[in-house]
Amino acid sequence: MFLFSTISTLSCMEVEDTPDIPDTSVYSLISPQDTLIEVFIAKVYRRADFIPLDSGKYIPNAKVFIFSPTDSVELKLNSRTKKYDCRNDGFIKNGETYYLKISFDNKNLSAQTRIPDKYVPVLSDVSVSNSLATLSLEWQKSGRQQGFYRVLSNVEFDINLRTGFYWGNAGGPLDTQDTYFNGERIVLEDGNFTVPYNAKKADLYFSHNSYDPAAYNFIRKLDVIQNRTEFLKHFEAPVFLEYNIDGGAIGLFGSFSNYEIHKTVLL
Amino acid sequence: MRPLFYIIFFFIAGKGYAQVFGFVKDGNSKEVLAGVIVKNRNTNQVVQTNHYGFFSLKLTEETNIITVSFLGYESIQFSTDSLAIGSPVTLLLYPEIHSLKEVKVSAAKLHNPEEPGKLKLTGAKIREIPLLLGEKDPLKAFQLLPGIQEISEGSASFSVRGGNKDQNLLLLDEAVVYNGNHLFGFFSTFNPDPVSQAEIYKGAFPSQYGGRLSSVLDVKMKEGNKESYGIEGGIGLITSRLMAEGPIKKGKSSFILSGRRTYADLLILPFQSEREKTGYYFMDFNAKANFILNPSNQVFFSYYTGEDLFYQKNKIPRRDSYLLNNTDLKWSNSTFTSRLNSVLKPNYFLNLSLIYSKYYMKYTEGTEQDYYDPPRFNRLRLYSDIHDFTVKLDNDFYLRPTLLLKWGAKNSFYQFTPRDFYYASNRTGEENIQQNSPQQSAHEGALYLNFIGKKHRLFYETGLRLAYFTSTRSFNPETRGMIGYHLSDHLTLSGAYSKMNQYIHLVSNTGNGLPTDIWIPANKVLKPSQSDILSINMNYNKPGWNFNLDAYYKWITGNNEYKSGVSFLGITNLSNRDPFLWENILTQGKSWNYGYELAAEKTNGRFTFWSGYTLSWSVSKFDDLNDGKAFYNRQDRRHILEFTGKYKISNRLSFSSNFVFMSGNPLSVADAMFFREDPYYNYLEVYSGFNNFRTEHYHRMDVGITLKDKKLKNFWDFTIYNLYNRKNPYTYSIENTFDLSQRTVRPVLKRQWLIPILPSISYNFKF
Repeated sequence: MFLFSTISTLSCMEVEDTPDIPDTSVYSLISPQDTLIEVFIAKVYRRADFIPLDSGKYIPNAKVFIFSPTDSVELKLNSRTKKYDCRNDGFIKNGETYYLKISFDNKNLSAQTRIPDKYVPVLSDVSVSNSLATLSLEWQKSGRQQGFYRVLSNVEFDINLRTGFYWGNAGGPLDTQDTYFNGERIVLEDGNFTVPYNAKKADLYFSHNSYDPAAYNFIRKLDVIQNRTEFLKHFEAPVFLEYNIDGGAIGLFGSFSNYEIHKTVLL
Repeated sequence: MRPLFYIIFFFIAGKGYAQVFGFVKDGNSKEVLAGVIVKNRNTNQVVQTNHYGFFSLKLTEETNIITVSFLGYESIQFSTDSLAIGSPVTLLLYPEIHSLKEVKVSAAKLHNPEEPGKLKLTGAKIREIPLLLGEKDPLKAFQLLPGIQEISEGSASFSVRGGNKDQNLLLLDEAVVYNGNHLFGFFSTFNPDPVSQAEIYKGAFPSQYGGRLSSVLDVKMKEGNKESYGIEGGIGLITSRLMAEGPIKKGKSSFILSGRRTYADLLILPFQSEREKTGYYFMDFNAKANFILNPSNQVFFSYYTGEDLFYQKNKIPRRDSYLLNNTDLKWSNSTFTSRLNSVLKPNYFLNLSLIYSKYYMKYTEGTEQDYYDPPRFNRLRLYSDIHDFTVKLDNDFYLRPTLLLKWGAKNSFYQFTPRDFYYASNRTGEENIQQNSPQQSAHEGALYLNFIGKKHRLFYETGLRLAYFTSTRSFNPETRGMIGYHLSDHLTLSGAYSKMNQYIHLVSNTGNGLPTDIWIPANKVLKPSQSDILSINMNYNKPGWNFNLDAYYKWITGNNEYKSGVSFLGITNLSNRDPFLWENILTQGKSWNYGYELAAEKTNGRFTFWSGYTLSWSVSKFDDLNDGKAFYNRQDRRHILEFTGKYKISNRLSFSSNFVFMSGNPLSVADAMFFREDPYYNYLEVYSGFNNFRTEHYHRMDVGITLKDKKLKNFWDFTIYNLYNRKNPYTYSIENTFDLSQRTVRPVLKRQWLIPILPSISYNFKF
């Protein structure tokens, strides 16, 4: 009996009860380059709840403020988008930390985000030949720096057709978490498109975004959710989103800084 | 100090007394018998034959009387005066013969009180249990025992004491079988016909076994009858089987050949058009031959190959052209074992094995449209394999009549192609993508030493295994120990501790046994896994009855889980050109598994049964999952109740039944929905935690009737699986129900179930 009791004593591994899910969600991504600051506040629905297909999920009676270290703005409900918004007239700045405060129905929610520093990558080389677009972006900082970047690219060709453009996506988004990104230089060498034979020029658009860590992780996981097929969903590990809202809500208050590069190449 | 003494004086020990030694064999087939009790009545010394049928027994100066007994065989007794002492003897036991009217049942027991971590089933016992579609299966038979549970409905994959399915070492004639599944897990790769016996260790591991954390399943094939030829087989709804055996040279050598194949694909072939062909089959082929070179030396060769193939070919007509689609999914195991058994001294037995094992999986998919010039195509191929070349030496050395030293060495050379992914298309421009994980090779080796002894009522087994793995430069000592005491003639108490290491990991979907098992070696990031298993056993054993109580605690480090959102195939994002690294999709953590197992067994009389109850917990903690908080594993089922019984109405007619109850297990299921815009109905799923939802309970009853002909050779098997048509949970998914009149959507959790009531019939023959 002593030995069996010993096993029983060893065998105490506490598993906490799973926490209740809050009934409110918040979603906001702010950027110095955006002309609008938007926050969406909504109910969280449970399994077997009846969810309205049309507008009706948002919380209409919230007071929403965003504070910078020196200033604040109040966001008002936009009756068309159902989001709380205000114009960004230089209020959001790179490198600053912003605080979100939301209050409604005796509930007080808060979150914060630091806008990433402004990084301007240098376009060192670009070319288009056959079906291949090659682009080199170089960073101002050297070494493998801690950062959360993502580069998206599009190529448009003028092919003298009435429809205007033929475009392609030069590879998927390139992330700093991809293993061959070395923190100094990115080379996009890819082409999921065919260069039309009668095209005279190609316009290459590269969008470089720096994210705060919470937003970066959230967006990476959204990619996974959006890329998975209904079939594979049954055989993949579920996606657990991470949230950064305090006070009894799930969701994201994140930020990013955008830098657009446009280059025209004559073919 | 004492063990060291034995090692130093290894070659001079054992010379001080006369011995009788040799093999015990079945008198009809001349196959060796393992576990036979050989007793010197002068000294009351008792030994058992080892896995290869060998024994060695001390004699006193005067004439000794030896008895040999084994369940189901007539016991024999003889005087040593009749033996030529100094050379190996062969003792023949003949099966008990009963008149056709006499109904006498005595079955081998699952538990041996002196081997507390082991459960043993004979091939005959395995063939008695009613299972899915009447197919007999050693893996599924073990799933009806305490501490061993099926991973999902109908699956041959199993979990032992909360461990993952890759933590079970599956051995067929000493060769590792890397994928134990046929037909998406509904059948195992072990064809029951050529199986002589199967043993599973779930604790108190002898030190000759290693390389997996949770269990060792050791399946031995029959050797083939050395005296006469025979053919037996069966015709079932899903498969048909045929086995032939006989002497190559009478009394000196024998062979056995056995095959099994499904034939649904062949039956539907005439009904399929040129435009569409879909099919599936699996097959197994076992072969074994053995040769007695002289009384002291015998060689064995055994071979197994099995494969599954699912194929689908479509030829869809377009205007002036065709669109061709081809999909193939194939997986296959092959093993080859060559073995030498040698009696070097009266007290020294040697086994030398050379083993090769291979597993591969290949998925190909392609489309071609000849409307275009050149034709447009998409081709995708995913391939994975593992090759295992092993050399193994096992030695049994009887230091004293009551002390056996087992020692040996093993080295396995692995070659892995974990993931060879290729995609090519010319639809939107020439494109070739390869996302391969690098090919790797590694050595896994071990030296082991094991002392098995007895002193009065005390028995013990203590050993050490020194294991190494070259990829991680790991060198790990594994201590093993078991000690027990017979409190009375019937009651035995024992305790055991085992440390185990596992150097290769399985990447697989955790759910329903798809064949996409991919083996990868441990590396500096995905470290080797380790387990520490402590168990305490109490056994009450009397003629015809056995009661067994186990308490266990198993602690695992380096347990693998998928990171959030990854695919088990890793092919969701074709545009990602990174070299594929497994550490990007797997994470490692710790696991605690503990519980109690109670078993009762009745082995005599018309009605025989075994029954088990398990109360257990299985918990894990990963830094990368569930915010670093502990959670219950998918294998965590609090209560499991199992019953398997057989009632022999007459020698021709018997009735058998299984019942299984398992409380629900945890899964990750979304609790809530989160919106980022309005109006909008595409939501993000929100989970309150990892494995946050517990499924409904699982229970089912199967029944079977066996009706033999008058000669007791041929018989019909009638089986009903899931007798009362319980809709047991297989998977859960959230489905959206739209109500456009109310303009609402309702996400509802739906349970999918798989196998309804399923009757089957098979005819088995022997001549």
